[in-house]
Amino acid sequence: MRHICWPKPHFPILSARVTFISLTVMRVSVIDDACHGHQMCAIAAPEVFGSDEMGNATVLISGDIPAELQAKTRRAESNCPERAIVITD
Amino acid sequence: MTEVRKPVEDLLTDYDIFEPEFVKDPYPSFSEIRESQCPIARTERYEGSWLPTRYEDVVAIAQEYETFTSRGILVVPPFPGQGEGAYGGVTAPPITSDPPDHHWHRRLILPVFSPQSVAKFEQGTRDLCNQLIDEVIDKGTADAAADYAQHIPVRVIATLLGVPLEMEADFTAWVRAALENILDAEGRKWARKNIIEFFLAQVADRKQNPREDDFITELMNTEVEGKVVPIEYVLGVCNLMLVAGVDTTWSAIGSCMWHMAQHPEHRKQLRDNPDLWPTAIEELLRMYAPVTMARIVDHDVEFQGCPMKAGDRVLMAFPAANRDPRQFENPDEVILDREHNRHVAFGSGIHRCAGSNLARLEVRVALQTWLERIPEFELVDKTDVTWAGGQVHGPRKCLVSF
Repeated sequence: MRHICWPKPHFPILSARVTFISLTVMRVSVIDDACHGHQMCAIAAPEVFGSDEMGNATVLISGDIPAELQAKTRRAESNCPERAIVITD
Repeated sequence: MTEVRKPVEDLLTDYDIFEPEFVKDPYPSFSEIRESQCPIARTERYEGSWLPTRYEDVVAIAQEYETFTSRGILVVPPFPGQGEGAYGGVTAPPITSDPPDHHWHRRLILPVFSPQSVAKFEQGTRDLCNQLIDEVIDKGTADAAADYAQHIPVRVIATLLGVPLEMEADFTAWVRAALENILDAEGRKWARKNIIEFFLAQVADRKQNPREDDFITELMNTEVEGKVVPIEYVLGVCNLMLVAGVDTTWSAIGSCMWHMAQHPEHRKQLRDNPDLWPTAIEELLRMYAPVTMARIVDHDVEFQGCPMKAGDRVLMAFPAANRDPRQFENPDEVILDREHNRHVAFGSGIHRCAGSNLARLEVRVALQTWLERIPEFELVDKTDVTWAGGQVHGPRKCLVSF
């Protein structure tokens, strides 16, 4: 888990009330042995997941998942009947 | 088959998946069993079976393929003499296969059903749906099951197999006998004989006249470990395509049509937000999962306190699992944009329905095409809908007006 945090610029002295802006880095992978090709990840997040020749899931994005696709990626994880998707953030 | 049916005394110890009320609407019974002290019910009917109803149990059984084998996938025993004779070894691989053979049985057909491969059937399916709608649209009424849903998967599968579309009525009759009216052992025997003879003739024809870009030809010429695959495998896969690819998807399309006829708000939601279609289809599949598959217990085992014996049948009630409140919020409600949906309409584990991508394509195209052309429709008579049930659940008569 990696958070990049800055103290809120206003009222820096009142540190007890400091809030944080956090930019979450998300990565995703598929456990090959667990995936049985339901393709429900690709339905939830077609920009992130695809299919190999056998219909099993592939991850289309190498590296960090862009912020605008993170919600969809979480949705994909929560739609996998085999619990084969692992999100690290 | 006419017989006097013994009334069900207690669902937990005497359930009957062929009882008329259960056939029509199994969900109240599933719910009663699932929420009882005994969520894995037992019956001695049809030579006995177990019926797990909780999501967790159904999925665990589907995953444990060494304990819960695919030697039998029907709730009823094989008919007398099944498995004997020249082509007695023909089954329906990979659905009836166990590892290690299951591995190659499945790998050979999976590429045919990948999302990329099935995409080529989309336009043909849409054209077919449009033709079917052409035949009814001016009448103002239609049977959404018998005039529409019933004709879609059988023609898609016939096209995929490269066999004559004129055989549609025969295919439908065989499939119903093999999978729907399974208490009639003679009917199953008749269906099996016809299916094997039909595909033997198809194989013989291809030996004489090999075809380009043809599923059966390619299957016949496939080699595994240096040997051409046995004829039993080729016939078995063709058998599977018919038996697993027709009745099931037709039932799903029919149930979705039945639902849409009663829910103008869902029709509107999809019209206003077409991006919702893929998620909506998964939700409808969760809600109306048509298939319950059986397994055969390999060795004596205690599962969740149930003393299961080698040879016992276990029915994986995927439709019951899909409405388990432990897994799904408001499980009996269709929520087209449901966020968390690990449904198991296509099973779970190594036997995940090989044709799932094609099935969902057919369901989506069938609904989209109908709703584009007939946006407003309703059931003629809610009480006059007939259902097939048992191991495949879906409407067989569903009159709608528009």
